[in-house]
Amino acid sequence: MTLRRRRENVKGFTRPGAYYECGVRPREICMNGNKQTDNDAALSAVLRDWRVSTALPPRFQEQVWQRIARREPLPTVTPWAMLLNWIEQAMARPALATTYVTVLLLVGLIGGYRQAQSVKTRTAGELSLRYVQMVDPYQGPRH
Amino acid sequence: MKRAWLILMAGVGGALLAYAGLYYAGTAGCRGMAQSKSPELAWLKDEFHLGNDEFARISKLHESYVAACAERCRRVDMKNMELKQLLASTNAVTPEIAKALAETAQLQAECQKEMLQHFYEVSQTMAPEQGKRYLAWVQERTLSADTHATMQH
Repeated sequence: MTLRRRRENVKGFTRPGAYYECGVRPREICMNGNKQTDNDAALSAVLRDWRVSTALPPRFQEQVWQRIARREPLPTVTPWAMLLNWIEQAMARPALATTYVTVLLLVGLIGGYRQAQSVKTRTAGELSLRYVQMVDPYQGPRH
Repeated sequence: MKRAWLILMAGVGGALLAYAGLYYAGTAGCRGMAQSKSPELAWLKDEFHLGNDEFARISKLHESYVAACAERCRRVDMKNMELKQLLASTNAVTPEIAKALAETAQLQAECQKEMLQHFYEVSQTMAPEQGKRYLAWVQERTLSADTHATMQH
């Protein structure tokens, strides 16, 4: 058997529907152990005898990897996706989630308190000035 | 992911509620003062911890003083106008000008005396400690201040 024929035989086994060439349907192969064993033996024999004598072109391996890299670009991870992933992982931890909610509550409380104090101080300053202007005829427009 | 978003939103919502609640509660007094009939007196009541009776007496004193002060302001304005006319009619200090100047100064002194009298009456209406504090506070901002260089009437 020439190398070409051997290759064709091997290809024949690897092609879809190759088993049909032997007149056997796939279901029958699974159910018929003798035929499958015969085919496997033939295939094994062909594979054992198969020798590749042609030299590989220069930088063949590198080119293969380059082609693979071109065909399968790495999935790009956006910063937003990274953030979402990080949030999901962080919120899955009860201690961290509790801390997050507690800290935000405290920030809200402190912010509200400080803002209220600021408004109170400003209002008190304005009203005290208005009182002084009311009782002192030498300060500002009045009466 | 849904759980993570729920926790995130709960945190933000809780913070906003806490902020709004404390701000609303903290400024309730200010809003009450600003919406009162006389915000200045409402501030006085709050600042010097006046009881309702004290506040009622001080409000009465204040109304009486403000009405009398307005009358004195009117007299000062008239005297200033008279003095302005006298100054425009001559280029020397005539007896009429000297008299008008003296009367203006007398009116201004009367204003200050009445103002000081009002401060004392108000302070005596308050609790002793608060009255003392009020007197020091109001004198610092009126009689002791540099604002008396010019009259604003």
